[in-house]
Amino acid sequence: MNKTQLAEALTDAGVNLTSEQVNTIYGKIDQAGIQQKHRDRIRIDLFTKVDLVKGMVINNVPGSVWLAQPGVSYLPDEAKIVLIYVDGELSAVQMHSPYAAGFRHFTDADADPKNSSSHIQRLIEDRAQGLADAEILRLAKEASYGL
Amino acid sequence: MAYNWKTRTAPPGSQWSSAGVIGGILYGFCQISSAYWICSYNPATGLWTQNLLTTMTAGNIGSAIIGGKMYWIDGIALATCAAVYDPATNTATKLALMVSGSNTYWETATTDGTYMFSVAGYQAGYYTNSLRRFDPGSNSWTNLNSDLSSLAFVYAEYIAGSIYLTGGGWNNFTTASNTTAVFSLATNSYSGGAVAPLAKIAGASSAFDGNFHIMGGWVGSTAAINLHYVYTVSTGSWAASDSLPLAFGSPLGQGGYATGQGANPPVYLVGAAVGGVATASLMEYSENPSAIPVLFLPANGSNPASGDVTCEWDAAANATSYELQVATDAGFTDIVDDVLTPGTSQLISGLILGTPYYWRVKSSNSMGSSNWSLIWHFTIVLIPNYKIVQLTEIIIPQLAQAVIPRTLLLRVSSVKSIFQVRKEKI
Repeated sequence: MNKTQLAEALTDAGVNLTSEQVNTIYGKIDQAGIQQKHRDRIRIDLFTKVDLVKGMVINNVPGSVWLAQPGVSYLPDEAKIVLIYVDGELSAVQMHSPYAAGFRHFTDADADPKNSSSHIQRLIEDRAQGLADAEILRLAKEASYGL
Repeated sequence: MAYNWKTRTAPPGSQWSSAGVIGGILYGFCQISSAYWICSYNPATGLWTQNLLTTMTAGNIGSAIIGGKMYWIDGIALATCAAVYDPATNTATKLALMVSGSNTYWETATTDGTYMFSVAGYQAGYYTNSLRRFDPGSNSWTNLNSDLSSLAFVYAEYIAGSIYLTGGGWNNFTTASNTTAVFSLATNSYSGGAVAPLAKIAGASSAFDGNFHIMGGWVGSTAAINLHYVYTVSTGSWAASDSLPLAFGSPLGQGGYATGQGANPPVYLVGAAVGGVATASLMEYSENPSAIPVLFLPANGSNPASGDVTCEWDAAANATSYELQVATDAGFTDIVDDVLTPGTSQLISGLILGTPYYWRVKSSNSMGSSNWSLIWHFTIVLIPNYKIVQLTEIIIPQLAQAVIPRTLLLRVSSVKSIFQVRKEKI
């Protein structure tokens, strides 16, 4: 979250500050540390459609039910399916990449955890940034009370 | 119908400005980090999916599900337009600008199934009384009668030819309305409704069971609430309903919008609760799943004395209908009857003497079906009310021959059965 985004978020939150006050608050917040903290809360697991055919159970839902869900039938057997956990709790399942219109399934490159620009890494970063933004806004609002 | 609230898996984003159910899946438009996404929740799996990163922005609430697509009012200021998401193609498209050159946001969207209506909002520095209609067929907007109060973030739902409106706020949302208005699409005019129990804004609304439901919201500028009120259309009166498990709604500030989905239950409320982004939630208003039926009669392993058997079972909790299956095998591959019924008993006719029959029942309601009950079986051993239609031949004894005892071979109307014949002394 840059200074402009923080100023807009504070205004949306009903906190009206001068640009100097926003700068002061912005400088006090350890954004990198907050981002890393929330990044560490997120974990991903990968599997394929073949695992569902074999009966893999996800979120207490058997593979046979998963195979009947929208977005599964068109997947090739080798396509990666992504599970996103936050604080150990299963939160989301990604059958396709959300970074392109249509239903582009995850390739090995998209799902490469060692590639910082792969789609699954972008998913992690976006999730972490969303969580971090909430904390940054909360800290900024708290800091504004003392101004 | 008996509905209650459940909390479901929290959504991935905040600022939920629209949501709607298509094909049993909840779709919505939300903010994750500084970008806006289409996300979805699948009740069958209990999980969310980030469907599509968009280039759009949120400044309004409500949605319109029309033709299997989700329409909403996208953007703020001069870029406010209709937008559509098609789950079949996973594509989102900006459509016609609402009013060229205007500076609009904070509208509420609702639908009659054909058009999307934009209710009130904020325009060029003023809270507005506008009512506009978007036609997906022609990709165009039409201004309708704008005699309602100037408000933003109102509750609005279409019910049977009218749009029901209540709440909404102004003065930077430190002031909220408790009036209720009914807009007739046929006459393009408003009539007044009963005063709402609370003045509030930016919660969620839904139209189900033929009535106008408002849930959560923001009172003054102090706190979100967890209350649920119902405006009964037939009586024109408000009444308190149940309470949400979480407080819900924030107009601006506290980090996020909140929205609801307007169709029949299950109704979903998604987005910001108290505290905004960090506590964005998903609540579901629905019936509890129906229970597995318990079989009653004919008793398991029994021998009914008629080819017309009434199967009975106990009423299952939350059930609105039942499915009875009768088969000649325990695997239910040879099904002789499959009946849907709202009741807890069913007459099965024409069953064959001596054949073992297996039966089971499952229950259903708006949330789906239960698992099958236990499998019971019975075998008919006697049909006392048989009818002899033809006496073909007397084997022993010969006609008029007197013997003790006397034995007969008979042909009857149905060849399904083997008979015990009462012996008579002569």
